[in-house]
Amino acid sequence: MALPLALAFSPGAYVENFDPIRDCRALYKLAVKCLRFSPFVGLDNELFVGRSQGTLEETRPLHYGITIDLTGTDRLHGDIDAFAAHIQDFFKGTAAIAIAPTIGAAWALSRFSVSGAPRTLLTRIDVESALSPLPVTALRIPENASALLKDVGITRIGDLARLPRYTIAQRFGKFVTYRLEQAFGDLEERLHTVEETKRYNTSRIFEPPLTSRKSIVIAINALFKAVLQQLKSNKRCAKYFHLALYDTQKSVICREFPLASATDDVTHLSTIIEPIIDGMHFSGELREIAITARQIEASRSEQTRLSPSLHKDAPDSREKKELLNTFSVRIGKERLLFAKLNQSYIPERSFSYHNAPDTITSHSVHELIPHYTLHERPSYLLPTPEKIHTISMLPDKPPSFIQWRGKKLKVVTGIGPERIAPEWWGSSLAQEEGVTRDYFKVQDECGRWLWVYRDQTTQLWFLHGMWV
Amino acid sequence: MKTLELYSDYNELSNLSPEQPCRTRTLSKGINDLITEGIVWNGNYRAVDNLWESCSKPVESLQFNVPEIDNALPQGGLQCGAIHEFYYQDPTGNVPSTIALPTLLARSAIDAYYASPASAWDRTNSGAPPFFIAWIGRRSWPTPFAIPQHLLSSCLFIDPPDEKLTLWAIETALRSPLIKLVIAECPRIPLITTRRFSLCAKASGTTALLLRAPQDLHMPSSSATKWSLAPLTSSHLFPLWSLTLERSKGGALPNSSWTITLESSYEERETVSLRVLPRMVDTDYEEKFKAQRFG
Repeated sequence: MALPLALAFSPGAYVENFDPIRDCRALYKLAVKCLRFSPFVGLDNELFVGRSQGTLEETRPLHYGITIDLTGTDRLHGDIDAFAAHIQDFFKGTAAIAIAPTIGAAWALSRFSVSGAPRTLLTRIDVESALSPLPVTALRIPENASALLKDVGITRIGDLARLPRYTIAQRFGKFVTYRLEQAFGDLEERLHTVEETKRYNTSRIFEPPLTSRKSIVIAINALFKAVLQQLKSNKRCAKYFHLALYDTQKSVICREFPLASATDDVTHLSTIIEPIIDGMHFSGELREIAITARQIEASRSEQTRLSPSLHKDAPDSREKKELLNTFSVRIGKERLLFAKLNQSYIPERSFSYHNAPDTITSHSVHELIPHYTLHERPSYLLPTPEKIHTISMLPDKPPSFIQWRGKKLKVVTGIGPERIAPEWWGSSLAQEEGVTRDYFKVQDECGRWLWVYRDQTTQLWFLHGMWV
Repeated sequence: MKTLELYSDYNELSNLSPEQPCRTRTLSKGINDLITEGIVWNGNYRAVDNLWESCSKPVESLQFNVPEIDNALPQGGLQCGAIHEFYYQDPTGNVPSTIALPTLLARSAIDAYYASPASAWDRTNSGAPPFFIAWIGRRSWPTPFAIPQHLLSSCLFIDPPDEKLTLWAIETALRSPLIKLVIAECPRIPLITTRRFSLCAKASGTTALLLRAPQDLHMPSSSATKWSLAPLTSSHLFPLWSLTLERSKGGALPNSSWTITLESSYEERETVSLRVLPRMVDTDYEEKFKAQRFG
């Protein structure tokens, strides 16, 4: 049914776009919550495949379900029916539930069973009789296979089960046989389990509150050590640490430690944080200290060097990381930059700064600006072009007089113009607004060489850089 | 195999005159020591390793690659592991300090690394040079397209928010053996701070080029050299500077001022080299030139 037609039937209905990725995420969270029933909770393999390949929209909605492996856990809840009732309560009666000896059977019964109450099968002998009236699509087979089966008049699982298995594999594909055998328990099936995302944080409440500076510093260091221990035992490292100090007046002191690269090394982190903690002012009584690690990454174990005797000066990448982290924590990540050249003729766009060293793949100037030598561009470029007043002869003579930042400069020599036009091939053509510039290289009477340009549309003059 | 190579090196080195750069002199001295101890010929690999290390030590001076200037300095270039100050004498002020000259020196440092035997080992390992060149303070940053490609990948641009952190960043960079060259726009600092910087630099072997305001030229400092740079008016169609060596620790100054320019050829576009022009005193010519142009 089309949406307008549906809205005509029930005006005021709440409509939202289909977003399979969000659904998938929500289902994952729900599955994580189900970990209270059993340590193994899984989602359909099709969902994982669809998520990784980006074909989630084509995945059938029937696959949006949760599988709980309750082998051995039912006795915690009394008997198995009580367990089903528990789960029913947990989902507030909105879920279709089936309990069966195989994943395939439970899947089919929960999706295609007619009655609303939970279905429970206890032995493998019951499986065949319970599944035989269900349609073949309940076997989790692809649609083209079920269409093929329908063509030869096989619509029920019972009909299919009566055929010899090898003919099924030959005529309808191996996959149908797999699914049939998995449903009947003749073939093993693996569960794609979900995991709770681990949080790495520690906090400690102090009673009586801490007042002396020495004990606060000791407590902070101990907590950092504890967080790193957590990280290390899970083979993880973190790129960002957050320290919060709560005092008895309910005010909070927060300090962030954004690192340039992830770490799980105690000595490295303490060399970075110690000077900062030394500079912090603590006042009043501290009630609680909390540390959170974020931006978790998997840690890689690296061989430091092949032969320690040879060439001790070769610096470790670890040492490099430590250096970058030291700067990054103290003066901020956005102030620690690496440069990269871009393919552009417009001076201020021909380079950019980044704060990650790894992502940079730069071209050489030689490739990018073929007909210039390095020296034809000024060594210093002003952050933004600055407006100047000039006296110049039209149409294209260099200015003979410049007033810049209130100072009057007489121009002795000038070379130009060199026209730099907007890049018509660029995607942001509308943003350019025709910034055609005529650049001149001029020498003032003190001997400085300046790079000035005239904006072609407004006829205003700007100073852009200088050779210093 | 390694021993044989070293032997052939030694044959060349033993003929060297004392005017050769320091690095090769220490190398030959190292070999001499080993020969007197009689370990090189025994095929003692530990000794060869030690020798390898001594070769891979950073070059002890930073050259301008211009004999006129390099020969005026006691180490045959700017001494490594020390601080050097540059004062840009801008006649009207409000212009950042000199940038082209530090860029050239940074390039010379990286070229010296690529020419050293240690680099061959490092490059087989990772490809990039194992050190950084730190530019501290936004006004000392050259435009990235004025930096040659192989230098740009090891450049680290640091932009401290205030003076205090600038000094902290300079000191941290100087303490680190991973940073080969620190180029910093330096605020006004007293003698004690420069001495502190010198000690850091000496300990780690890092060289610092401090770009300072011209008013501070006569303030006491413990730098190894002091340079002042001023633009020169000329009839040439390229920038011309007068470079003056104001002070050089342990060096005599016979002729300590040069007229320099930077040039690059169309064949090697990424190469910018320093050229010393003969002192131009022909003011008449300039007058004539001006008259001709604006008369």
